[in-house]
Amino acid sequence: MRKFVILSLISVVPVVGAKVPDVVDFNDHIQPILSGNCYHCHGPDSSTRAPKKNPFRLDREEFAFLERSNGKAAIIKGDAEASALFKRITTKDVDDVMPPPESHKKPLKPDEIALIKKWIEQGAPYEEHWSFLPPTRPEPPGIAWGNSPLDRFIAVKHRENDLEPSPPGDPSRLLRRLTFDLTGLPPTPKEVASFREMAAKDLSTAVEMTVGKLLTTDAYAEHFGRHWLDAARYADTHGIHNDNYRGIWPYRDWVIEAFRQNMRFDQFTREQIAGDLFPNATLDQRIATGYNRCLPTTGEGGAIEKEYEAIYAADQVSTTSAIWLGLSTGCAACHDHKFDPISQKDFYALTAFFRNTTMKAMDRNKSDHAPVVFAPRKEDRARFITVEEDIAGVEKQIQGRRQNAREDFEAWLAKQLPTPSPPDPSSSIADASLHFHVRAGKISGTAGKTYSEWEFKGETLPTESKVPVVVLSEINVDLGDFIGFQAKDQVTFSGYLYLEDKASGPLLSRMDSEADYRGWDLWLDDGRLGAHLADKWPEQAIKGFTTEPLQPKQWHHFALVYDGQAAPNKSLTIFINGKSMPVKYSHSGKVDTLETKVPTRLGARHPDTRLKGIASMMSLQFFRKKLSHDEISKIAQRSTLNRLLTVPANQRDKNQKEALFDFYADQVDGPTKELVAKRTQLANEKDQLKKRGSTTLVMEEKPGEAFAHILERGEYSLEREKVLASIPDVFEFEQGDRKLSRADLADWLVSEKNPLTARVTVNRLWYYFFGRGIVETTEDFGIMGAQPTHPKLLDYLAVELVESGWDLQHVIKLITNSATYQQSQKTTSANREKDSENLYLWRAPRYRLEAEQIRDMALASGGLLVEKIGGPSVKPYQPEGIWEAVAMKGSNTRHYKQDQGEGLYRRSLYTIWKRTAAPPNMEILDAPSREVFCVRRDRTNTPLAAFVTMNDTQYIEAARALASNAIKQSQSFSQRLDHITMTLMARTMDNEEQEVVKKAFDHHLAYYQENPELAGQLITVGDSKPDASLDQPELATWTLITSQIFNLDETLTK
Amino acid sequence: MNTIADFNAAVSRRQFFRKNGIGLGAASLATLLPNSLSGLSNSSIPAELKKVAPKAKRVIYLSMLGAPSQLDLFDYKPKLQERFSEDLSDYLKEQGQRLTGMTSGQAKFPLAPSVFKFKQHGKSGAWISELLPHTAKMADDIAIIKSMNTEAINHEPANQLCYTGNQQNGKPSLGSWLAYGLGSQNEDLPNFVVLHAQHTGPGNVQAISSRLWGAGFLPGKYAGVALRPKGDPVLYLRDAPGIDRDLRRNMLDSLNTLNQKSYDAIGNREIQTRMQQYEMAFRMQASVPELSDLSSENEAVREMYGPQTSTPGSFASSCLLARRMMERGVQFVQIFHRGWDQHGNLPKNIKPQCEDIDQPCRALIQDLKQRGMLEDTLVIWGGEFGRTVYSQGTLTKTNYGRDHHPRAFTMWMAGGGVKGGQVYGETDDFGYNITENPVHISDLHTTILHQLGIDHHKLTFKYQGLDQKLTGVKPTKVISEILG
Repeated sequence: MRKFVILSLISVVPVVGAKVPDVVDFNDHIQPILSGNCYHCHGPDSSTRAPKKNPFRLDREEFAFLERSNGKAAIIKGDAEASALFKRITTKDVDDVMPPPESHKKPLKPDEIALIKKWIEQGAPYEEHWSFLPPTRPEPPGIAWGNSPLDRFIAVKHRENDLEPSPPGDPSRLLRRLTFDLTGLPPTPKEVASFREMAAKDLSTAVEMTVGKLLTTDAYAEHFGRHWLDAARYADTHGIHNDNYRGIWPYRDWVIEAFRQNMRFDQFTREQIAGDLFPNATLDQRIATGYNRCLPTTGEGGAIEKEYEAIYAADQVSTTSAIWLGLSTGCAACHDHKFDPISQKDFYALTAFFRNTTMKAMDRNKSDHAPVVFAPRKEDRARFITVEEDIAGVEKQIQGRRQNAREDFEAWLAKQLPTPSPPDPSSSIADASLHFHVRAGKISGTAGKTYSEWEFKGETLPTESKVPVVVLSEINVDLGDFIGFQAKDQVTFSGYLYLEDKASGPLLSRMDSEADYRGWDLWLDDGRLGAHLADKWPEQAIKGFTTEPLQPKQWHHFALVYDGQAAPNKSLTIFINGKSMPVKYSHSGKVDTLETKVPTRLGARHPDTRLKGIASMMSLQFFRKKLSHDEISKIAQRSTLNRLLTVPANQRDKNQKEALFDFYADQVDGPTKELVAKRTQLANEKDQLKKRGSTTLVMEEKPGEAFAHILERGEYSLEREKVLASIPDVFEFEQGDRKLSRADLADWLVSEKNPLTARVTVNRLWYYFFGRGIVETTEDFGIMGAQPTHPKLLDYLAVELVESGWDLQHVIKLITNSATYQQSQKTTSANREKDSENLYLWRAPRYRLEAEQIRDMALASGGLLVEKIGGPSVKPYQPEGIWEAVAMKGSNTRHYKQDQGEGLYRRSLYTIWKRTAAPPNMEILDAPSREVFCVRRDRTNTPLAAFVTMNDTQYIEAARALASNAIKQSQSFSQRLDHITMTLMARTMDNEEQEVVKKAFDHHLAYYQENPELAGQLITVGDSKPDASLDQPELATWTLITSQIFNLDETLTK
Repeated sequence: MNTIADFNAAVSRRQFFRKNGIGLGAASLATLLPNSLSGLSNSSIPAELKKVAPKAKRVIYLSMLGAPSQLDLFDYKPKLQERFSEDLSDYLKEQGQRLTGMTSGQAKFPLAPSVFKFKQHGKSGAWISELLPHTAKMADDIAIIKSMNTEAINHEPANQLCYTGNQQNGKPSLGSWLAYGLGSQNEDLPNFVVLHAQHTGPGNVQAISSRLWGAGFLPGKYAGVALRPKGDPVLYLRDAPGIDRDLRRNMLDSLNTLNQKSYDAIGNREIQTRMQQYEMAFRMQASVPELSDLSSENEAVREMYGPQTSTPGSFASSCLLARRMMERGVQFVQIFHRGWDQHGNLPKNIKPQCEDIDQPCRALIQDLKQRGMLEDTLVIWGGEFGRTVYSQGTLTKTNYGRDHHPRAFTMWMAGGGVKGGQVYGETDDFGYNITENPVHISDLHTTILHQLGIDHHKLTFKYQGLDQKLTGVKPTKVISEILG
């Protein structure tokens, strides 16, 4: 066992030549060494703390100086040589040296040892990790550089590192960067010109005014919304297994709208985390909670609910922690955090906030995995409410007319003649019928021309006609090969049904429960009528029921239509007494075949699965066609009518008379017909509004306290201690006796007691503008995260954010109005040698634009961009087979059907995001898959990216569009080129550059004139048509030239 | 040679951009440029990673997605025949093994012996099913591991564990770790290539996600590049209609000249990197189609891989393509073959699956051997877990299904320092639990890295403050017994 013992005769590595500062700082110098080398065994994680017998903890001051078993402390303040810590890191004895060889860590470096030595000599002072201390407003340093306090913080670091700041950059390039940073789009040539004019007078004012203007644009809201959607891992599919569509784009539109209104960030936070828990939560506030529903979910057949509940909760906590707290709490799912003061208990107490939800673990691959709300399109909101009112109004009028139609009814009835034993209007067209009257112990049926009889031994019900009918309960009558149909067929069942109470089980079936339940049945579920149609249960199967049970103790006419040509979730229509009933589908997978060898059974599915409860049927008819609504109501009502008219008028009871009145009111009465037509029209309008909107996933609390169990090693099956929702211990929080909910979490995230949210948020904003956060690890402000390059500036901005009323635009203005931001991008060799990464911002950032910005630039430059906010996601050009390659057979995102028209030209944030196969032309340019949160994108530079911008249809088409405009605008080569470069690069080319382009132009033109078929091919790429009035080789040449300019580093870079 | 200026002094611009009309050759680019310029500056091979005596230089992983039944292919249990349809309910309760949602509601768990005949093959006397006659012939080339195990019981998490080392999302794939750790041997082709082979077995086909070959938190350039059998083999590879090679070359020359001017004015290294990437793109436009064109292979080779060789996207053509990539310096090729998830009708549905892969697998091994490449090419075959000994759904004498079984399953490895002709690990009478030499998926990963000369502890990437590893935090081991 390793123990801290005082060793005699230890050999010590000499500490020479190492650079050590005069004052050693715990956070800057010591913590990184200890956390990287020691904390794994001597840190926050109690499970790996060593030695097992008498664990030693080095991460907290209160433990580091405690006496060890030998009576001495590991660190003796002021005396490094006597401190066991120092001895153990310097010894050459392999049994004693720290970190030990089996940890696979290397011995400490001489300068690290020197730092620790000096630190102990200076009294070994500990400090709380910087990010856990609340930010306070620092005084801006008294250095005169730049035009804002922010610049003075930057200037201090310039000085410390002997760097020369850069002068203001070229105004055009600055405007281009500013416009991309704020809106994700390039400036127009006109905007460039007017900015240059303003900047010539006063650069600061020009920037200030432009920023003010850009912040009010929709493009700004879309661009910053898109940043947020990366973090929230927004996508249009579930992500796991089937990876089907999910209805959640109203949440995406909510985010855009929040940025459009410059919603306070604290409010933005509260509504997303817990908008549903606001008193009288609005529809928007509920939609906002879609944030909690953006996580990938599963409907995989064998998945275990508890396991996924644990996975979901961990995902929620990791995501929320990364976005608001900048903490990698995910580590604490399995063990106490190795470095940060987040215990396993803290982690599970955080998961408790998200576990108290009505959301089921299995999403059943449905787009409307509950809880959901319906969200009409923004512009339809008002009408959606009034149309419902209008429908209710007409409904009232219809009821009113019923009251007043009695007189007309009586007059009509007097004229109706009873028809003795009326012919059933449907019997002549039925393909099979089954009679349930039991005569001599037998029931009978006809299929085509074949008449059959079957024995029946079960119970019966008496009827008006004196011949009793079957009771279907607990029977199993094998009808042999009686009724059969195929998956693609359209068929109708019609008959009469009677329930004593809410019966459940099979009425009629032809299904093989031993071969994936292939086949079909008519089924009762607690009195609700419906059917199963299965190829392979449950993935490839349809199951739908009426939403309301049938009235007990009454005969109903029913008709069930199966349409094998319709979409699975629209394939069933069920009519009760001639009226179409809402049908709810629990399964709507694609059914390829119903072929089965088992017989049709009455009252049973498998000999063992029988109908429970009392139900009876009469006159079942089977049609090998889809009867219309009209035909069905006529069958239903006419047969009822005929039956009732045979009863002499004076013998009709109240129910019979009412049934006649119903018939009159629904099918005969003129005024009612008019009202019904009006209702239909309104209902259609409502349908249209519904179609334009979407259900959207939201969060909903379930009753009771929010709790979770600690899961040992993160294993869902190893439930340990129960914990209630709470804020991690390391943070100050007044809980009292209260039980906490998500609303408390939301409040705490943006409360003054939380030292992290404001810092993390301004840091992310900084990252959007400079490509690198003040803390480089935007997702991790913990002990192992990067140190801030400008800690005081970070705190200054954090305080500004909070004091401005959490106004993001305030911080954005501080950044863009700074001289730091407005510097030139040019490098100098002197600065480059000292700070090649530009950590200290001696020049403006310059790096490749993001995937969406590049695509949007292409669309905007050629005038193809369709400026329209929100709505369902769109499907622009995509190479064939991308979805097919990954999708399951039953997935509804297996086939990509490209849009036509405007769907090809919307801003990239509206492109449909399938998690298992993100849009390839954006993923190649480092757009995240949206499977997990992303608050920092990669920036790679690969040949695959070059292929996208050189060859993707979208880019060639856009180049052609811009080339056409250039040709049409002017005559000369250089004016046309200017148009292209002004649009893409916000500048014109100098003579030398123009010559280079001219040379390529002459080459291409000659080539295309010689090979006109190539020209024809190039200019017809994409769905939009080339301008027929233009010369083809010339247009092709300009298209290729535009593509070349588009692919310039300068164009692809901000 | 440290700076771009030095580099420019060494190579004139003309030389840099034109060499025999197709840009700079790969070799000269690799030798002239400091490593940090060939991609992201902070993402070159980890400094601590010293390869120690690698046995393998490259890997082909044949991934049977959906999980093939070990009981019908390799794990022979003759005694079970007598216990046909015995109900295992009580046995399963004792095991405490969780069942998937698909069979947990089953009233009975009837024991389903394999309907297939087994024979012993090769000097190890390995039992191999009649379903794999070609694999049987190469029994002496492969090491069969019957004692694989995993924790995950459903496809998504199991695949992620198998191909990314972790059941959670967001982790880099095995191939990405290797691309990151090994660096590139070929400037004209990606280092990690994924092929999706068509399968012919009917039945439940698992979804597959790009996360299985994604870069996770590693830089995106380490993500696997999927070569496609139809359309462009690499996305957007082909020049747009109306742009031929001559036009493209001319366009790139002009582009490069302008980019160089920008570099001269701005001095940002990324500009140089971008120029190189465009040049590599140009070269790939020639090298990738050449690679994918199997017509240049001689007839004997094509015959060896079987009748499907001429069908683009078949498992056979994918194997041949993999070998061609190995020759060209691609270091990791993964072939995904789906359709092995036989919950029902297993005896019928497993046959076409085996027919897809059996002959090509052997051909691949023989082909590598004939070219002297097998000794330093590691080949791995297997799925993400095994299948249950009891039947899912109804058991008859000729028909049954099998549910997911994580506790024991079979994989095989060949080449790259693996000693062929052996069977490693054993399972109990039911093929349910491992009785000898368990091998966890992470042990497999550790072994793959070890054969490539990489200590799995040292292949790390700092993310979320931790030195993240492919092999996770629990101790793992090299399966040294199977190594030569």
